[in-house]
Amino acid sequence: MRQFLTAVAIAVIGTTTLWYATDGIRAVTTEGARRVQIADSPPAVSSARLLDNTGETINLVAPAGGVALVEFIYTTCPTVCVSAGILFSQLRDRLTEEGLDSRARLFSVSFDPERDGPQALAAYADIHGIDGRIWKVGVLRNADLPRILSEFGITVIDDNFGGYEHNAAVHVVDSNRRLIGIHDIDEIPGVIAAVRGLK
Amino acid sequence: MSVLPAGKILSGQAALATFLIFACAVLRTPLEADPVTHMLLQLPLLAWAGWFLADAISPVWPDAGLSRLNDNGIPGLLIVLFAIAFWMLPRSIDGALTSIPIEIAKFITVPLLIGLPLRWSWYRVPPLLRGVLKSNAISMLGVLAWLYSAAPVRVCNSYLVEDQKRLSIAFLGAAIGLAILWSARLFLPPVDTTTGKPTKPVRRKRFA
Repeated sequence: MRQFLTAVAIAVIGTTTLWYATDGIRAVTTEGARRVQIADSPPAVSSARLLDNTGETINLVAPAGGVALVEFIYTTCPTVCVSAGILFSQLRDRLTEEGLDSRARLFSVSFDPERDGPQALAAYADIHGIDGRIWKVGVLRNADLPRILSEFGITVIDDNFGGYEHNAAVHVVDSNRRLIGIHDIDEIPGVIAAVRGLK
Repeated sequence: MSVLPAGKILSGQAALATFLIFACAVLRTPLEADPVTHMLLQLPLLAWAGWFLADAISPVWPDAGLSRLNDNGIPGLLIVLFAIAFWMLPRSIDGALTSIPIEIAKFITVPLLIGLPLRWSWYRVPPLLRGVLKSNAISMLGVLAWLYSAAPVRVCNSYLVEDQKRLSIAFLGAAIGLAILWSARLFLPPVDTTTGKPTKPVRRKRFA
């Protein structure tokens, strides 16, 4: 009996621990945990300035009453950023078709200030047809880099081939600078719904 | 209160356990740079350190295994299984790499909640249950191998997709290795259920 009660007590403690460790079986990965945390209480993100493809400084902000849709890239990225760029252009087209383009700004934000100067960004803008109107591309300044990556929950690691590997997603920031959603880059309907759902 | 003789505590097994934990701590950076050595070398070595620690404590404190609470080994085994489940979560592994408190928790809980209670429980649980756990460990490694090679997402933010693929192959290797090891064990003499030492062959009585 004593052993049985000990076993039950351990099972209760163990289950509780695992429950908390997975946010109630909602997240087993760090990326999942970040999305759960954002759904529960949207964290604030601080302001950041970007150097864009024309050499001008722009603010990473949402239009009043709208959202900024932010993805993180580096222009020398051969794989995921290319598809991210293509999907972002599809997202821009959908937003325009649905008449939601006044409510959203798209930002492709490079985290590689060493290599992504205005020239590299201009080449990236050309490839993806970034007009700077509703979709802007810019690079973070070294001073803002660690803070912004940490606030958005982006982990950038070396891929051993001179590039980086990083978690790629569409980050939804509202005009009060709160990070209110994170969507997979290929999940366009979810992003559209998030933009439409704004009051 | 009795004073424990220092010579007994500092047994070979205690030294080995300490050495393993220190080695894992000193070689943290290279071991954790690669998920294969992190999960299939550092974590098992830490658990092993806990196992040796249990061996070192047992002679000094004979009822360290808490036979009243853990006579059938089930409570101890539950601690082990929950601790393993926790450290199998990708976010725990990511956490150990990015947060010092979680890394310290790993160095404490893997020896003390996996290796140590396993040593004090494994030979007490029924042989059938041990067999079930072994076969489960093999199939779990197989499932993880498949999952990590087929997963469309990167499971750990701190490791590359390429690393994840290698890890899946390593898990498959570990599954095959354990299957061979544990099958081979069946051809060796049986093991005493309390000590883990091979039993002396029992001579069958013949009636003349």
